[in-house]
Amino acid sequence: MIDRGCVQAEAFVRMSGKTGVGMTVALRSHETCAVRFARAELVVDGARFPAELPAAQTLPGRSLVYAWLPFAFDNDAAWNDGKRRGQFELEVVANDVSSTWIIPAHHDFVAGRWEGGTTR
Amino acid sequence: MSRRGLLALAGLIAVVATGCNGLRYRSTTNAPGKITLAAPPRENGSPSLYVPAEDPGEHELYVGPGVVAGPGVGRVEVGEDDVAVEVGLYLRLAYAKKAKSHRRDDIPWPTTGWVLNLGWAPLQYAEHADIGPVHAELERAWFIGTIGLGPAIYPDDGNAGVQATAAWKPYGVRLRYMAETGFEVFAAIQVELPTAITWSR
Repeated sequence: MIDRGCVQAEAFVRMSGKTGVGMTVALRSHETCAVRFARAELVVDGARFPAELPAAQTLPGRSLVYAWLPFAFDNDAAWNDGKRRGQFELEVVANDVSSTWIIPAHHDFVAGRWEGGTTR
Repeated sequence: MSRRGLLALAGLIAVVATGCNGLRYRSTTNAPGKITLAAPPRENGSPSLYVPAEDPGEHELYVGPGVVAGPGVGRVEVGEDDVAVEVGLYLRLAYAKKAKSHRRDDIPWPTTGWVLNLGWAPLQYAEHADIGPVHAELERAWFIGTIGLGPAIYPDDGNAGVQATAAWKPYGVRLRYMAETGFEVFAAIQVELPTAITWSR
């Protein structure tokens, strides 16, 4: 979670699979705030996978919105190549003030259809 | 070997076969599941709303080693009140593409499909110990029922022929026709260790 100027942001990885990773970012404004993502990338072993960026929006007063960031890439190949650690880099601009947010990422098994089944 | 001894051996093999657990070796290749990279239908900021990936299914290579044994009539003629015994080793190989991945405790087993059965009988005992034939059978399997057909050859003298095996595992019957010695028939009681290598699709 980051709190910069007029907005607080919290990120959740919502899905991870063969074709990429999907992330939701909760944006909560403290006051009326113009928010946009200038950049959103998943960096894995030096390779950068940009997300499709949501439209800029103005959050009136104390508001809460959810932004969707789909990082589309060949996650299956990255897994097979042993590239399972990286970081999300999100550049958030709130009322013309830019902040870069780094979130470490680790691709691993979760208990599922069998022990250590699907990955996350 | 007496008939009573043979019956005891057959019973022991059958008991071991039915109580045997399998082995499964799982590769982590292609482990990520299938997703549709779209915003979740519902969002409230709760970490519990993670959308799990779908099961992509898996590839399964069945590699089942086994022992087959039974009384019968082999290439050496025996007296009216005696029988020969053959003891063999085999390896069953089958490949399947599964729509769903196995669960942790599933025992691997080729269900309906084609299986390659490779084997060798290191012992065929009649009046003395002999080496039995090697074989390669193509099997059609219906769970524990199988019918196999393929070539067989005695490696010591090159006596070649054809072999067929019908089984309702662990029980079975093996019939051969060898070019130089004619027909052979053996009971084929089988003990197999169900083993598979799997990797995600």
